[in-house]
Amino acid sequence: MRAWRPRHPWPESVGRRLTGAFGVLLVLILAVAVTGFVGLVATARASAQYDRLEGAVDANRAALQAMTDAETGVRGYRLAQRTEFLDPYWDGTDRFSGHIASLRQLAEDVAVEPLVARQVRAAAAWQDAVGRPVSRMQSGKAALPHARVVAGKQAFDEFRDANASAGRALDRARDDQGRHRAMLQWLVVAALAASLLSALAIASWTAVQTRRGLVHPLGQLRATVIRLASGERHARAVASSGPVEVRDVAHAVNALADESVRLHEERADRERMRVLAVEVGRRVRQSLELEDVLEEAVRAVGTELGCDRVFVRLLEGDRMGPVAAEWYAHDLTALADAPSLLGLDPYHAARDLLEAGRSWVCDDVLDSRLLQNPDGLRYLVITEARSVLVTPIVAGGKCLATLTLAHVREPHRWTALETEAVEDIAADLARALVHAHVYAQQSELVEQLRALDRTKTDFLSTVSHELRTPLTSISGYIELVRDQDAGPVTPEMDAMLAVVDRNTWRLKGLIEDLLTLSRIESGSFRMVSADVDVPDLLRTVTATVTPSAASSGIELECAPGPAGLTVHGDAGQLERMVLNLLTNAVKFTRTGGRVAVAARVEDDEVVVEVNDTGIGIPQAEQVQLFSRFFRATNAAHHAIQGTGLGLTIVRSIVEHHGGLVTLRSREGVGTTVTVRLPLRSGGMAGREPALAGDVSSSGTLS
Amino acid sequence: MSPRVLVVDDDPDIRQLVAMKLTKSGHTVTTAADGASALASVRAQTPDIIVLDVAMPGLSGLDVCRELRQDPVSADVPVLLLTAKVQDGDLAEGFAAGADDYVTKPFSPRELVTRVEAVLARVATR
Repeated sequence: MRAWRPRHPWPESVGRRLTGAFGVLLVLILAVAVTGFVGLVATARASAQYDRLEGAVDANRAALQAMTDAETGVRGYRLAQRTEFLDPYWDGTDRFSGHIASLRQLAEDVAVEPLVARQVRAAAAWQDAVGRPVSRMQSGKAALPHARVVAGKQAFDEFRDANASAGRALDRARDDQGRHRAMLQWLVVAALAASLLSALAIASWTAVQTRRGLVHPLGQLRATVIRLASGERHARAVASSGPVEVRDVAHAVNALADESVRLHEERADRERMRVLAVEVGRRVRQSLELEDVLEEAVRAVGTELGCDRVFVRLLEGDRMGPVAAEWYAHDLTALADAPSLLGLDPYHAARDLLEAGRSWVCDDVLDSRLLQNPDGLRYLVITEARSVLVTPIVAGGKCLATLTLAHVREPHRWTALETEAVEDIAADLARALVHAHVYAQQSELVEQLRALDRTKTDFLSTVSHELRTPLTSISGYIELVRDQDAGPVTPEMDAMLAVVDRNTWRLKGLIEDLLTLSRIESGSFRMVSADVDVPDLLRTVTATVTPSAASSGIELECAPGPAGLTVHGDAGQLERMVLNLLTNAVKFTRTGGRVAVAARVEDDEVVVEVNDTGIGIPQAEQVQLFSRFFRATNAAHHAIQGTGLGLTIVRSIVEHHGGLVTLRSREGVGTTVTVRLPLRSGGMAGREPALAGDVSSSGTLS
Repeated sequence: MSPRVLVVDDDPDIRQLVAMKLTKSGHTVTTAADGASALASVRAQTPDIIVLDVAMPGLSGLDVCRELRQDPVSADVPVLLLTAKVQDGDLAEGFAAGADDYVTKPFSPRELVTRVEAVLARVATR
C-alpha cells in the first residue's frame, strides 16, 4: 500500500521513459517489418506452390485428355480405317509424355509419383496392348486379337483410374495449399495489425504522458521563474514531483533563487552591519564617559547581532583584566560576578591576536583547542559560550582591551561581515578608550583648576567678609560721632572725620569691586537671562549719574537709541557695566566738559558708546587699561580716586554677554568706549576681546 | 510704649553700635551675643523686632530665624538680617528662612534705623 501518490504519474526520468517507449516502438516497427517480410515471402511461396499444384492438376487432366484423344484416335482408325485417325493417337501419346513430364516436375512435393507411375505403366500397357499394334497395321481392317483388346481396355481403365486418383490427390493437395496460403495471409495481416495497433497505442500513450508529465511541470517552472524575475524572491519551484529532468531543473532554479536570496540577505546583512558600525561609532563619539561608551557599544552589538553575550575586558599589562562592560541575554548571569575570569586568557588574546592583527574566531568550541586546556574549559564553563568571537581593541599598536561576542546555546558560524563590523566597532572603541583616557586626565586637571579657583574665590569672599565687619564698626561709629550722638563735634573735627569716612567708603567700594570681579571671573556669578531694553537701561543709569555730573558742572547727554532695542542678558550686570562707564566718564571729565551716551544698531549688534571730553588716557597705557588695578598715570596725577577695577568689571560683564568692548582715547581730548552686544540673541558665545581697538584714531572725539 | 528691639551679633562693637543708635532713636533694646541666648531671650520676652547677624559661630542667624518661625510664640516676630554677603542665593536663603528684610554690611546706622522702623510699620498694618 502506498501512502503517498505523486501528483504527476511520472516520478522517474522522462528520458528513460521516452527511451523505453521509443525502444518498444522500434521493436514493434521492426516486428512489423519482419512479419511483413516473412509473411510476404511465405505467402509468395505458398502461392507458387499452389500454382504448381494447380499446374499439376491441369497437367494430370491434360494427360488424361491426351490419352483419351490417343485412345479415341485408335478406336477411330480401327473403325474407319483411315490413317488420319491415327494422328490424334500420335499426337495424344506425344502430348501424354510431355504432360506426364510436367506433372512429375510440378507435383514432386506431392506423393502422387506412384499414381503417376501407375498411369505411365497403364498407358504403356495400353500402348503395348492396343496402340502400337494398331499403329503398325497397314490397314485398320486387320483384326486385333480379342485378348489384346481386352488387355488394352483393362490397361486404359487402369490408366483412367490412376489418373483419377492422381487428380483427386492433386486436387486435395492444391486445396490444402490454398487453405494454407489463406491462413498464412490472415496471420500476416493479423500480426501486422496487432503490431501497428500496439505501436500506435504506445506512441499515443507516450505522447499523452510526455505532455502530462512535462508540460504541466514545465509550466509551473515557467511561472516560478516569472515570479522570481518579478522580484518574488521566495517563490520556489515544486521539486518533489514530476520527471527527474524537470525536478533537476526545478532544483537548479531553486538553487538559483536560494543563491539570489542568499546574495540579497548578504547585501542586507552587509548594510545592517554597516549601519550598526556607523551607529555604534556615532554613539561612541557622543559620549566621553568610557563606561557609557562601552555599555552602549556592547548593548548595540548584542542586540543587533543577536548574540547571547557581549563583553569588553580591559588589559592590565599582559594580563586580561576585569569585565569593563557587558551585555547578556536575560536568562544568563553577569560575568562581572565571576571574578575567576580575571586573568583567564585561554586564547592568549593579548599576544596571539596582536600578532595576527585579527579577531579570534571560533564557530564551535567543541571543535577548538579551548577544550584541550584546563583554562579553556574553565573559561567555557564561566562564559557558557558555544561560539566565540574575540576582537582586540588596539590603539597605537597596543592592545588595550578585547571585545568578545558569544553565542551560548547553538554553534554559530561567524560571517566575514560580522567580523568586519565588530572590528570596525573595536576600532571606534579603541578611539573611545584613548579619548576617555585623555578626557579623564583633562577632567581631573580641570577639576583641580576649578578647585583652585573656588579656593581663590572663597578666599576673596572670606577676606572681603572679614573686612566688612570692622568697616561697619568704623563707618558706623564715625556716623554716630558726626551725628553728634555722643556730644558736640567741632567743624575741624568733622572735616577730619569726613576724610576718614570717605576713605572708609572707598575701601568698601574696593571690596565690592573685588568681590564682584572674582565672582564674575570664577563663573559663580549667577546670570539672570532676560530680554533687556537698552534705551530704558541707558535712561535709568543716566538718571542715576545726573546728580553727580550736575554737581561737577558736566553736561550729560543721553541718546538712548530706537525704541525696542533689546539685548538678551542680565539686567543687573548690564546696568552695572553702563554705570561704571558713565561714572568713569564723569570722574575723568573736568567742569564744563561733556559726557554723552548713545545706543544704535549695527548689523546684528547693539552698540553702546560712552563719549567724554575728559583728560584721556596716554596712548602707551591704553593696552593695560582693562587690567586689574591698573590706573592711568594722569588719573593719579589729577588725584582722581579709583580702584582700577571698573573697566575690568566692564570687560568681564560684556564678554559674559558674548559682546566686545573697545576703547579709543587721546590724552587731553577725550575717550570713547564702545560696547558691542549681540542683538537679542540667545547665544552667549564668547569672543576674543579687542583690548586696544583703533587706539590711534581720534576722529570721533572732536 | 516704645518698640522692643532684640539685637543679636557676635561682634560686641557692632552690637553696641546698633544698640546705641536704636536706643537714641527711642527703641527699647536688648542684646544677645549668639543664637542660643537670642532664642532664650525671645522665649523670656517676645520682642517687637529682631535685628539678627547672619554669620555667627554656633547657631547662625538663618538657623535662629528658622527656629523662631517654628515656635508659634515667635512665628510672627519680624526679623531683619545683617549680612556681609550680597549674593542672590544667600538672600533667597534668608527670605526662605523667614526674614522680613536685610541690611548689608557695612551699613549706615541711620539707614538701619530707617529700615527697622519701616519693617515695624509694615508689620503694624498687617
